[in-house]
Amino acid sequence: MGDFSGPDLISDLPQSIIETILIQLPIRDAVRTSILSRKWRYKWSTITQLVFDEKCYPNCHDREAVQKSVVEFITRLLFLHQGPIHKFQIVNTSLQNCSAINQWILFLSRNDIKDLDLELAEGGEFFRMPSCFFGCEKLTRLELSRCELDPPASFKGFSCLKSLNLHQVLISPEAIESLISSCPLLESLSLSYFDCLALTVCAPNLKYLCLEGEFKEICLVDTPLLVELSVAMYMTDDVAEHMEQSSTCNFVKFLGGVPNLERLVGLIDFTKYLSIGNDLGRLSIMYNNLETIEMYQVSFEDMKEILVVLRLITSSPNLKELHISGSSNISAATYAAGFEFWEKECPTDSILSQLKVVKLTEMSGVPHEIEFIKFLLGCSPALETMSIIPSMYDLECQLKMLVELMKFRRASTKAEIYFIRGD
Amino acid sequence: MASSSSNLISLKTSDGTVFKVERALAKTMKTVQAIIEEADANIYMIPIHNVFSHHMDMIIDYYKLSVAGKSKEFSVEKLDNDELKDFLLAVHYLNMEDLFEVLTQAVADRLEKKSVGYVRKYFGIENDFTPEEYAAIRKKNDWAFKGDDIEPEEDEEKQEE
Repeated sequence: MGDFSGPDLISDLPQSIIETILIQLPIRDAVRTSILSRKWRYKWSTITQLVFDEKCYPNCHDREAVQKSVVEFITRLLFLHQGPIHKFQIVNTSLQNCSAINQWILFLSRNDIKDLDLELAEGGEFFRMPSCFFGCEKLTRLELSRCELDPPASFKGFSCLKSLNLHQVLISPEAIESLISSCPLLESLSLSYFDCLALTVCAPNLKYLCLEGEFKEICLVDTPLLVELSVAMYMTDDVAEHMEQSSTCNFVKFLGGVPNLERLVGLIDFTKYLSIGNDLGRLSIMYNNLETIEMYQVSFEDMKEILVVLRLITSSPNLKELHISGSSNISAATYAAGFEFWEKECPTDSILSQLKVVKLTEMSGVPHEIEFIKFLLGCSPALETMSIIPSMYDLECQLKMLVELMKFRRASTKAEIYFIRGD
Repeated sequence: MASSSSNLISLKTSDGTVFKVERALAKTMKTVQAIIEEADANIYMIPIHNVFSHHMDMIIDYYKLSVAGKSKEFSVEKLDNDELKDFLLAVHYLNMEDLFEVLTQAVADRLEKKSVGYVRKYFGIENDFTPEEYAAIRKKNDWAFKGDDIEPEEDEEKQEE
C-alpha cells in the first residue's frame, strides 16, 4: 500500500523512552495508544506518572456529567494500571469531593506513591483524607487543596517528605506542628489560608517557607537552614493588643534563628507583627546572605515598624535589592512627632555597600518616608536605581515630595532615581 | 601524536565528518562521557554511530542556546516527522537528558489529539489486531475514548490491511 513511512521505529524502543513520551502526552492520549497494535496494548499501563488536568475533560457544560465522567475515567484507569505509581496529580479540574477518592488514595498507598497533588475545586465539601493515606511511607512531595487532615495517634510522620504545600486545608494546630516536626527531611513548606494559628515550626532541614493566613503567633524554632521566607500575615486588632502586653520580642522569636536567610518577603501585617515586643537595641544576629528584602504595607506612621525595617537593612551587609511598600494614613503621619528618632536611633555609620536596586511603592510623601529615602540615598554608595511610585494623585503633593528628594545627598554617583507617576 | 587540546574532544559522525567540541558539551553526552572515562588519558577520536552531521549541527545549536539561558528558543518545528524521529534516536543513543526531554515533548506535541490511524502511520506501526480483537479492546477501553474532540478514526480502511 505504501502508506507506512518505513519500518516500525518505535514499538521496540526501551520502555523508558516510551514512558517518557507517554508521560508528556495528555493522559487520555496515552491510554488511547492501547489500540495501536498488540505490542502497544499495555505500554501505557505501566507509566509511573499520572496527571489529570483540564485536558482530561469532555467538552461539556453539565457539571454533574463532567464530574461523573472524570471520576469514571480515573477509577477505570487505576483499575487497569499495573506497577508502581510515583506521581499522581489532580489539578485545574472541577473535581469535587466524592467517595471514589478514598479508593484512589488506598490504591496509591499500596503502589509506592511519592508525589501526590490533590487539588479539589471550589463548591464541594472538603475531602477528608482516609487513614490509609498516612501509611504512604515513600511520600516525598505533598500538595493538597480543600482537604481535611486528621492524623491518627499512631502516625509517626512521613520520613521521606521534602515538600509540603497545604492550601485551604483543615488541620488542627497540634496536628500541623506535629506533622512538620515529624518529617525530618522537609525542605519546603507552604501553608496558605490558615487561620488563627499559633504555629511553632521545628524543621532542621527547612529551606523555603511560605505562610499566608491569619496567625496569632509564629515561632521559628530550629530552622537554621532557612533560605527563603515569605509571610503574608493577617493580625486582628485584639490579637495585636493582647500581644503588646507580652514581654517577648517577636522579631527575635521569628527571625532570631535564621542566619542563612537569602530572601525575605513580608506582607499585610508582618512588619507590624515584628514590631511588637521589647525594643531590640542592637541586633546580635547578622544576615550575611540576605540579598533581597521585600516588605509591603509598612506603616510609616509607626516608628516601631520603621525601626524593624531599619534593623533588618542594617543587619544585612550584602543586601542588593530592597522593595518597600507603604500604607500610611496621611493625616496621622503628617503630624507624627519623633524626628529626633532619625538623629538618635538611626545608625549614621551604616553603609549599605552592596545595595543596588531600591523600589518604593505606595509612597504618600509623609515626613518619615522622606527621611527614610534620605537615609537610603545617603548610605548606599553602590546604588544604581531607585524607583519611587507615589500613591497620591494630587500634583501638588507629588511636587512637594520631589522638591524634598532633590535636596538629598547621594552616596552613589551612579544612582538614577525614577519618580513614576501612574498617568 | 598529541591529541587535540585538552579542552576539545573530537567526534566523528556516521557520515565521516569530524566535529571538535568543548569538553563541557561532550559531558552532556553520557555515552561519550563513558567512552572517555573508560579509555586511557588521551583519546584521539570518538566515533558516534547513528549520529549524522546535521544532527550534530542541531545539538551544537541547542548547546549554545542553553549556555546562554535561552534553551526555550530551541525549536524543531522545521523538522518533518521522519527527521524528528531520527534526531530523537540519535540523541537517545548519545544519552543526552535535557535535549532528549525536549525532543520527546516535541513528539508528544505532534501526537496530541491525533487519531490512532495517524499515529500508526507516523511511527510505522502495523495494526496486528484481528477485527474482532480490535472491536473488543475498543469497547473495553471505551471510557478512555468518550467525549474526545480528536480526528475521527480511520477504522474501516485499517481493518482491510
